[in-house]
Amino acid sequence: MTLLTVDGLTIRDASGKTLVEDVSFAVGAGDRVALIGESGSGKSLTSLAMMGLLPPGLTASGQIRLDGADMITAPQGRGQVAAVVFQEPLTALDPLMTAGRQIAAPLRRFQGLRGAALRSAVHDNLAAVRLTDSDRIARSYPHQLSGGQRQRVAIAMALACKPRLLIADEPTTALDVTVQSEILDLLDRVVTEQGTALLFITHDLPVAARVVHDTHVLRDGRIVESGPIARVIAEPSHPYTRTLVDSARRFDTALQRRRP
Amino acid sequence: MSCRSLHLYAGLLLVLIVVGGVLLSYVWLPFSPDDTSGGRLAPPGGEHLLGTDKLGRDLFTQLLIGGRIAIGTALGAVTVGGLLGVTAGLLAGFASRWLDDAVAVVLDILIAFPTLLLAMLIVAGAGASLATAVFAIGLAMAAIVARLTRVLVKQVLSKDYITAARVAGISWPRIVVDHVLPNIAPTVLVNLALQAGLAVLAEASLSYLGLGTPPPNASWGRMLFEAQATVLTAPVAALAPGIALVMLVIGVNLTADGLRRSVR
Repeated sequence: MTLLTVDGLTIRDASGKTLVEDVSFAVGAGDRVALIGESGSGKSLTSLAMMGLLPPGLTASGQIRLDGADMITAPQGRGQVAAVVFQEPLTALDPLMTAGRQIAAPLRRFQGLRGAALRSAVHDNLAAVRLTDSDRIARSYPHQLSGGQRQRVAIAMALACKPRLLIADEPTTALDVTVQSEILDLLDRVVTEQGTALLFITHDLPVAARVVHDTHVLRDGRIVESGPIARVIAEPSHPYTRTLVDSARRFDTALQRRRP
Repeated sequence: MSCRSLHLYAGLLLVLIVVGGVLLSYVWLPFSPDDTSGGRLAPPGGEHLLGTDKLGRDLFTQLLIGGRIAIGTALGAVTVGGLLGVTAGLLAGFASRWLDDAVAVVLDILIAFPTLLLAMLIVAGAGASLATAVFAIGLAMAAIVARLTRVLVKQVLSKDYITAARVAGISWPRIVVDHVLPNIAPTVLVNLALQAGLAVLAEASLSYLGLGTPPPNASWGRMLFEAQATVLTAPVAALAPGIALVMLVIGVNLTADGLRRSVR
């Protein structure tokens, strides 16, 4: 059964300007799908609409079904079904709460865990994102952690309730390249381990290529190309996709040429 | 000692001296407040530490009792201003755009209105009493606190951890208690501390104008007014409440400043 279906999604602002037009795609259980597009392409609006969190003034039409629930007419929190990892891990964590308490909040609320069971669940979650020093991390405030550690905590928080869909909104854009690589490996592993479906939102084609199977390329609010990521990279059909692939290749050749 | 702690400790010391005097006044007073046996305008020294006022009342006693009113005003106005201001600010921060705009306009008008004038209008309507004065000062304070709270709430609401909580289906009241209030608290509390100093001054001004504490209760503002006519012959009667007032206000401001620096 498909977990998420977006069908003919159109988003307009208060003045009637169309920001996202007729976007359709589906994510099945265990799928890994990317939405690729530059800023302003509507990829983040699409993800907000999926969670029923469009900013006031914007209206969505079409259909979005998340695990059978209509997210346009009756938006509701879907903490058990979907969770989000954000771009900037510093604002994704409450600065006044320890990492442990933030991971504990959804566990307490949705799984009713308390006391020792809650503590050990928090540590299991930290271990799942390969944070070995889990005692110290759980007691730390966000500003006491490095960028990579923060993003791991954010992923642990998102995965705490074993959602069936993880939405990753540019999860590595704010990180150093080496840390970025670690986080991508981690995402890859945790979604495999937990069988979670992944919707990966990014402007970076090579980054998406490392973790997803299928992709949709967005431009000016429309999907211009869809398909398995290998095929999209090998034989891009839309001119915009071709520019994306070409510019990524130019980085590669630059690296090759500088090789001693 | 760092600059921050110097401010904090110097401020706390000044405030504690005044608070100590107020606490003392509840267990011990040198004279009864309306004991006029000392004779008019007795000079400082001897039986009357600071001398007597023009009705023969002991000035030190008056000063201690005035301290009760000053501290009471500060606490009362901060309570009124804090409760009203934070509530209004939270509502505005969450409100839809037109309601938010309407609240912003009302707040701007209230803030543009001089505190004293607002307080005078309320006192004129409700009659001069300490409670009216405290409420009026608190109301003026609430406008400033509400505007600050509104901006802070909007900042916090734009953070991803709020979106994450909403995605998880956590209710708004829960989000306010868990995330919004703790994150706005440091700034709001420092602002309230600063406002407390201004409230003490505002009450003294109202009492000086005869719109605050009615006689015979000795507010420092009233004492200043009453000493005005005899300031050349009995300067202590004007200096004592003046110095006490300055001490408390500077103390509160230094404390607030120290807190502000340590919050950063």
